[in-house]
Parts: sequence; structure tokens; C-alpha cells
Amino acid sequence: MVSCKQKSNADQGPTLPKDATVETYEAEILKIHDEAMPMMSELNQLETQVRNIRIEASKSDEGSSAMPDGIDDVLQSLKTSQNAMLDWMEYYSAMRTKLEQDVMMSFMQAELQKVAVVKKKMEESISKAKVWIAAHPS
Amino acid sequence: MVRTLFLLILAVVIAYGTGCKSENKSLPILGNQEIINGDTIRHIIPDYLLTDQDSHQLRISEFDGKLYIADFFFTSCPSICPRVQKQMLRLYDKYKDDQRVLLLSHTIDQRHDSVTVLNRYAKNMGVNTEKWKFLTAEKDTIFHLADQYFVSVVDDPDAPKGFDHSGRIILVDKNRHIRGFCEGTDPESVTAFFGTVDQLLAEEYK
Repeated sequence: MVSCKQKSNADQGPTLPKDATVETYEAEILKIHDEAMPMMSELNQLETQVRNIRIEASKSDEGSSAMPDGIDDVLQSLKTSQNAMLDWMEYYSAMRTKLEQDVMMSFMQAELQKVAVVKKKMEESISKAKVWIAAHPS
Repeated sequence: MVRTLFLLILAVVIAYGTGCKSENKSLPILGNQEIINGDTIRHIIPDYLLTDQDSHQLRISEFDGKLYIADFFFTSCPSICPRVQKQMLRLYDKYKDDQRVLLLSHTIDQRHDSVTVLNRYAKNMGVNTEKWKFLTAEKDTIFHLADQYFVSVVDDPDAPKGFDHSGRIILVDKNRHIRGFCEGTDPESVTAFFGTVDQLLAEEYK
């Protein structure tokens, strides 16, 4: 019987037992995906908040010098992490139905790493935005 | 002006713990309510401009006078959405000949779900798009719209609002009030939801 227990560390990403099946990999991939998806709303809400700060700053008489430091970086991070999940889903869903069985295992192994990276990116982006917003109240 | 805001979410969710149970009493209107100058203002789905799978622009108010069943999805979703769409298909099959009921699926992936993609998706589903519409809009519009739906059906009022990837299916009455919901990933919950829809039909079309 295959153990589904996921091991992970910050450097290596998730790993499954050597005898894990394609189905086990897929279940783990979708689990990570489902854990990440609720963050999409929060990412969008944070993006809206930061954009509003930018709009307010742009109305200042001080011109571009009134724009808070790091705002573009935070905005870009929020957008990129949302797009990363959307792009990953598009690729995964398309390839999942196209690939032959003989390459499916290597595909799943690669996708497990990718979706974990995407989820981490989303978490980091949320943390970064929250810290930035706290330092730049509107 | 006397302005009082009541958060009814928790009470309503507790009252409707199973979400989809059909009961003899009238279905409540879910969501926040405000009392302004003595008048009770109930939560209503805002009248946003959306685009359907045939590139037609339409306002949600165009559906006033009909009940509709709504969900949020994206065509490339590998996990929850296909299960929810399967349940939406059950609802479609039951109500496809009932002119009082519509189904609306809103994509939250504006990056990939173009009108062309939605059109192809609808064709692959083999459904009548006069009955079941696949809708898109600007990202902010869709996320705000999702907030307006899900604020009424989240179990925890402090939880992040909006599209929560839970696969909930929501019932809206002919005045755009939210009247019920179910877990779209749970076939039994959806089976119970048939009763909720039928009850609302009976209430609204006496």
C-alpha cells in the first residue's frame, strides 16, 4: 500500500514515496491546488487595496514623488502570483488530457513541484502585500 | 437618519445549517440587511454588466422576474469545478423546460476564459445557452460580484470573502435576493437543493 504522506522542506519541495502512483501524485497536486485557490480572492482584494493607494498618491500635488516606495513591486507580485496559478491550471488541465500514459508519471512529478512553487509564491505575495499595506496606510 | 446594520449571516447559516434543506416555512432572504428611515433594505445582487458566451452584453437585472441558480468556475479548473458543473448539469436537466428558471456560471479566469473559450465550453456541455449562460466580465467586477454572492453563504463572517473555491451553488429569487445555497461538490446536498428551488418556485409563483 502506498503511503500518501507528503514530505516537504523549504528547499526541496514536496516529495512522495518512491512507489507512489500517478493517481497518488495527482491527488497530492489537486490537494495543493485546492489549498491555494482560496487565496485568489485575498490576492485580488489586496491588489485592489494597493491600486487604491496608488490612485490616491497620484492625485497628490507632489506628483510622482508622492508615490510610496515599493508600490510597483508589491502590485507586480500580487498580479504575478494570481497569474501563475491561472497559467498553471491552464497548462496542467490541457496536458493532463493530451499526454500518453508512459510520460504521465514524469509529468505528475514535475507538476507537483510546480504547483507547490505557485502556492508558495501566492503565500509570499500575500505576506509581502500585508506588510507593505501596514507600513503605508491609506 | 437612523441607520442600523445587522449582520445576519451567522444566524442564517445556523438556521440553515445544512444549507439546502427544504422546509415548510418561507425561505429567508440571506445576507446583510440595513434599516434606513425605518425601511428594511435587504441584500441584493448588484446590477453589473456582464458578457455571455455569445459576446452579448447583458445586465443582471435582465433576469429579474426569473429565479436563477449561480456558480463560479473556470474552464481549466482541474479539481472542484468539474464536479460542480456535473451537479449544475443535473439542475439544468431538471429545469431546462421551466421558463421561470435560469442557470448562470461566472468564470473567474479572465486570463484564459475568453468569450470564444466559454462558447466552446458551452457547446461541449451540450446545453441550451438561452437557459444556461456562461458569463465573464472585468476581473474586479467578477470578484466583487462573487463577494456579493458568497458574503451571504460563508459559514464564518470573518473569513475572507469572495470566491472561496468551495463549489457552492447559489439560488437567487426574481428580485435578486439570495434565498438558498448548496455544496456543489456534494450530490446529496444538490439533491436536497432541488427541494429548495421547488419551494422558492412555489412561493414566488403562487
